[in-house]
Amino acid sequence: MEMGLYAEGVDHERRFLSSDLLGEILSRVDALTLAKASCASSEFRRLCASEAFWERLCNLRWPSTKQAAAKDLILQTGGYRKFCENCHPCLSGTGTATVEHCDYVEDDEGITAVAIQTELSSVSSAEGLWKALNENMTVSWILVNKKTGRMVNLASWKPVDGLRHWPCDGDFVLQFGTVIPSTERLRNHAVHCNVAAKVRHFNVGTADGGCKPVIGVTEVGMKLENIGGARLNGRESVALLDKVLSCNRTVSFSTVLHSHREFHRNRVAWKTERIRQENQRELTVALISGVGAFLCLCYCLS
Amino acid sequence: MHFQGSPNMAEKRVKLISSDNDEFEVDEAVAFESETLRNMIQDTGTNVPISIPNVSSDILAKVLEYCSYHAETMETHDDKPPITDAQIREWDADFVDVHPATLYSLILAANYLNIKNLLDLICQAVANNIRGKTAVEIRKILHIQDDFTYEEEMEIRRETKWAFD
Repeated sequence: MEMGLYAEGVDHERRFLSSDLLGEILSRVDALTLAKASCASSEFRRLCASEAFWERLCNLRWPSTKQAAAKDLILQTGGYRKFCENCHPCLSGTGTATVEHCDYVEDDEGITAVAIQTELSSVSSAEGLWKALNENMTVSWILVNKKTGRMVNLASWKPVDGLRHWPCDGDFVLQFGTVIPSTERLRNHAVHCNVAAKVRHFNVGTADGGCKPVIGVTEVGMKLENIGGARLNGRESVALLDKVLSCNRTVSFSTVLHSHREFHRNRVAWKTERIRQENQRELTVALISGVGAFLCLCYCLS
Repeated sequence: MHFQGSPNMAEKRVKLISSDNDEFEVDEAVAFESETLRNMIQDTGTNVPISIPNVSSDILAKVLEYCSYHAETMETHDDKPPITDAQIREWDADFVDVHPATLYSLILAANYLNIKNLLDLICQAVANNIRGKTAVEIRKILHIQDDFTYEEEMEIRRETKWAFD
């Protein structure tokens, strides 16, 4: 009852919020909402174009963008809004594009910035830790081409897979991989961009004699793997990364997860097929040599 | 209606009149939560009733509820334990758990009365409301008109394509 009354009251008044107030609200939303709000009206479009909102979102998402070097890079390559638009989504792993031309000999200016954010307050058990890591740890591996001003996030926001180093329970490996669509050069097999973070969980003593769980990131690495799991060589990697800058992106994590799983299914199928082929080859070789030996024997005896 | 920020009756009381001519009487400390009212009281004193022409009774009652609670949290009592920050946050969360239309009126009132903490609280609540909503829903919540031409609409869709899946 009460709510209805208030709602009617507003309809009669029809007063509008000033730009300042709308700005106050927009300064508190996330990147996706800000982008959607800019489609609401021309005033919103103007307000949402303000770099200050995007700078705040960048700093929240990637705390390292506050550093002078990162700030310079972002401003040189087109500003915070462009950075957010390009690096917020992940690679969708769908669609194909062919490498037409890339000058990877000159292109030596790519800078990668890794942003890791953990928000782990109270973690009691190893299971709880595993869950907390999965939910709260975000990694992005951003590739920027300074010359063309193009950029891409090579990692998935949330972990797509994880391993625990048994029996030492404190060490984890979390995978934030994405899938890069295939190219003709690689015989139409997709490439896995494997971004892995090694995490260690340990307890440190606090000032009052207690114990506090601490999460430490020990290693973060990125490697490009082909369908067989082998690392791509430098020339192939550079060519591929250049292409990745114009690949399809997505903001839906389920799409990323889906393409990751599909890649792994394909990898398993590829390996099975390869083993089958090898077995067949071995069998053929064995047969041929057997027949050869038999003929030799016949010849010698005759 | 009476709002008590403190049991101390010796304190000065202030009369406020809403847009629909209802009279509210509050402690000076409660009214001082609002920068606008503070300035008015310092100019005219507490004897003259202060009229607030652009805030309706129900909204003013809600605003004063906020002000009296927050004025109370500032005070220290010997007989009662102090109110913790967690309790205040919980109270604030309950306070903004209302219909979006009420929040909308509250923003206007908080802005006019210049109560910074309340304005921050409500802006955050509205921001939470529009999180994950589509442009059409955002227009509805914030009472804005779609004023794009067809060409602009196409252009903006291209610009923000990344956010839609």
